[in-house]
Parts: sequence; structure tokens; C-alpha cells
Amino acid sequence: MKEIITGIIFIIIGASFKIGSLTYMQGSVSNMGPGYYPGLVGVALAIVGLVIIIRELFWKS
Amino acid sequence: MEILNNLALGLSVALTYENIVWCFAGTVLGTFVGVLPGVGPLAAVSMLLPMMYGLGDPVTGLIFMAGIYYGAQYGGSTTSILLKMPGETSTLITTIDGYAMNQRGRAGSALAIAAIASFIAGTIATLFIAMIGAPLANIAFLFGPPEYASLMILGLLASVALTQGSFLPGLGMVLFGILLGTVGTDINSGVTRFGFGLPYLADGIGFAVIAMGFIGLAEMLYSIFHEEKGTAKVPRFRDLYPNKEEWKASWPASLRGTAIGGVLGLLPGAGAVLSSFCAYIVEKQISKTPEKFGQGAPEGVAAPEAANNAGAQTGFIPMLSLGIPVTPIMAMLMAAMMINNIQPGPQVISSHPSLFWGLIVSMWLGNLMLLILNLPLVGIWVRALQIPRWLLYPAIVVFAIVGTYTVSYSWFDVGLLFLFTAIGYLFKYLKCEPAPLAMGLVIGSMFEEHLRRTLMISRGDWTIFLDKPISLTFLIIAVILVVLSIVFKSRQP
Repeated sequence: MKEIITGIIFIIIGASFKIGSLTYMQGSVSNMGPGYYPGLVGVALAIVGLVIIIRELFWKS
Repeated sequence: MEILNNLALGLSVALTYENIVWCFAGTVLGTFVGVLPGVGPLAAVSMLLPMMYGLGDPVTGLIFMAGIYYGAQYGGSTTSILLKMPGETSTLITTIDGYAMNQRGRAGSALAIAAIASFIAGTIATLFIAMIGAPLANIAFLFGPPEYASLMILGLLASVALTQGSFLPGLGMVLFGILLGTVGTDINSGVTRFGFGLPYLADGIGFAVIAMGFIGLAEMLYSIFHEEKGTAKVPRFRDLYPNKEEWKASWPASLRGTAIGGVLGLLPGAGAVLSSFCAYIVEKQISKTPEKFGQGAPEGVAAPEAANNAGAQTGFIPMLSLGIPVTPIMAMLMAAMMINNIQPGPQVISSHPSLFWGLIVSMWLGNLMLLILNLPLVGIWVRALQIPRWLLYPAIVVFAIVGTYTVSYSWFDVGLLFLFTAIGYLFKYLKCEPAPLAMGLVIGSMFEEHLRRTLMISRGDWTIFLDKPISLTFLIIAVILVVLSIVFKSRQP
């Protein structure tokens, strides 16, 4: 149960930073704007949260 | 002979009146937090970060904080031996044979062996840092942005992979730390990110505020509700000196422990904890009388104690010569340097030689102080356990609030302190160690800088990280460590 809450919190934090970062210039990979990097890390955190939940629900048993 | 000149320079810095006093204060405070089970050196160092603003010379503050770190390694062993209660995780393994020696009436001897082994390790490790620090920095000058970015990935992943606790929550904490680090003004574009229009956030959230709340206060709060109680008995000191047999067994073990700890301390994330475990296992493997382990074998005290101290010391090497912290506590010390406008990296040794060498020599000096002080004062340390918590903890909270307020004179920061304490406690409750967050927070913005530059050089081509041999090597090591850690941890019950 604690793992699932952790996963949800990670997804919320990651998603909020990703959504927040959309208000800044994204730029391109070769010339990143201020919004690119926080968005990238936010998505990564949300994925980590998702994997934690999936592992807890399907692989643990 | 250059090294002698450098050590002489270091000695001249470390032996100033002010630095001796702060080195002493750091080792004493470190021993104290090492003895207390609830408060670790990481929490202590994070609480004291605001002092870096007020201590004037940055080397003085670093000497003080380093003293807390290795002092805690000493202090932790005291309670391991006397109470079978490790003050620090790095001295967990010492409880086995240290406490067994205590029960056989050899407590004084076990304490002496632990102190002497730590001192031997500290001396050798100091010399090792002095020899390897500068050459390593020269190698680091060859690194460009892609190599640095990969090295940072290695540092971050390894620090999560090699510490206890599950991999994914730790990784999440690192990423959360990076995200918190993005708050404030972006250096490249001047745009304020996640400022919510608040002027307080334009410069970002102060590292000290996050560290004090998230790591310091949260850890303390958690220990209030989840603390084991130990009854302290002060031992008699009839047998403070190890007998001939114990001495013969423990000095070669100290040297082996030093070697193991010294090498493992260089690895990201390994530090003092892994070092002490490995040293104990090796000692047991090569012993002619492995059955004595667990019954109070002096080697079982000497080797891990030497290893954790050596590991604690050599962990400074990557931080000082590459600008990459390998453990959360090194991240704190690096933040302390940045507070004083010293940009960490290979140039520190050449541009701030008195800081580098002064810190190294002071570590040896601090180890000497600990050796001389700790044995006679052991009774006092044990009594420190009896300080009532209702007195100690409110004092720490007041200290944290005053510290936060005096850095910025802003009540907004004090509010943030409480907010981060609450978040930190929540994560601690959810079995997510908050410590890796410090790594992400410190490395995050540097990583962004190197990542942006790398992809600008390669015109947006991510494969540049695999094309450069040094960078590729770092990434391969990172992947191996992560896979090993996941496989190894999933086998544990």
C-alpha cells in the first residue's frame, strides 16, 4: 500500500512539473529552452512512479 | 617533493587558531551525533549549513563539517560496542564482535581497538587523498560536457544503487531533487521557472532550507516516533589497553580494512556503510579461525572500523577533485562550497590550494584529536544518551528556525522549512529515504548545464554519449551497477 501511495505521489509531482514547464519556451533538443529540462525530468519521475505501482500490483505476488 | 610543500601549506592552514578550534568543535559534535541513534551526521551537517554563511573563510566551515562526518564514525562505534546499538549504519557490523568483546569483559579493549584502527585508517587515507587528488583532477580536465554529463549520471544512479533501500523510490527522490533544483532563474535564458510570481523564489529555493527540513528535521521527527531505547551502562576501564594477542590480531586487520574502505569509498554511493560490511566479510573469509567471529574477535572490530573511516575519508576525493559528490553527505559539503561561491570541479585544487590541502591536513589532525579524546571521554559520550529528548529536540528545532531566518531574513523561508519537514516526514513514513534528494538537488543544475552544452555540440544527437569512449564507459558502469543492485536486492527477503 505504501508503495502505491509513493507511486501516486511521484506521478503527481512529475506531472505537475511537466505541465508547469509547458508555460516556458521549450526550444529544441539542440537548443533547449528553459522548459525542456524540467519537463524531461518530470516525465522521468512520473514514469518511475508508474513502474513502482505496476510492480506492486502485478509483479509482487 | 611537491607533495611535502603541499602538505606544509595544508598544515599552515589547518594549524591556525580558528581552524583548530572549529576542527575540534566538529569532531566533538560529530562524536555526539554519532552516539545518538536518532540524529546522523547527514542531518547534523544539513542543519548546520546556514553556518557556512557566517564562518568567513570557507575552509573553516568545511573543516568543521568534515569533522562532524568522520567524528560520527567514531561515535557510532562507541554505542555499537557498549550497547549493541549502532549510532550509525556504518558501525552496524561492529555490534557483532564489539558487543561480544564487551560481554567477555573486554569493552575497554574493543573501544581502544576501534579508535586505533580508525586512526590508522584516517592517517593512511589522508595520505592517499593527498597523493591521488591532484592527478585525478588533471585527468578530469580532459573531460568535456558529454563526459561530465555521463559521469553525473553514473554518480546519481550509483549512489541510489549502492545504498540500502529499494532502487526505484531512491531514483524518484533523486529526480524530485533535480526538479526542486530547477525552481528559480534559468541561467541560460534568464527566465524564472516555477516562481509563481513570488519574488522569494526568483533565486530558487535555498539549498539549506530544503536540506534542513527535508533531511534534518524530518529525520529527527521520525526518530521521535520510531526510536529504540537503550539502557546505558558505563564500563569500567581496567582493561583499556588491548592485550598482546588482541593487538597482534587487530593491526593487520586494520590495514586490510583501510585498503578495502579506501577503495570502496571512491565509488559513488558506497562510502562508509558498504566498506565496513565488505571488510568484515573479507576478514572472516581469510581468518584461520572464522569460528571466533561473532564471539568477540578483535579483527571483527578493527577491520570494519578501519574501513568505515577510510571510506568516509576517500569519499572526499571525487568531490574535491572532480566536483562530483558520491554520497548525500558529500553533496551537502559541496553545497557548502557553493554557498561560498566556490564552483566545485577539478580547478578547485589549483585555484584554492589552501582550501584543498588545509581540509586534508585538518582531517588527519581531527583523527588525532579523536584518538586522544575519545577514550578518556567515553563515559561522557555514553551519558549523552541520557539527555532527555524533550530537551534536545525542541532545542534543535529552535536552532533550525533561527538558522533559516538568519540566512535570508525571510519568514517565507521558515514557512518553506516547515513545508519541507512535512514532505520529508511523509516520504520517510512511506519508506522512501529522503537522503538521495540532496544528490539530485546539488547535481541537477550542473547536469542540466552539461546536458544542454553536449546536445548543442552534437546538434541534438543523443548518440554523442555513446560515441565518446570515456562517456560510454561511465554509462556502461552505471548500467552494470543498476542491474546488479536490482538483482541483488530482489533476492533479499
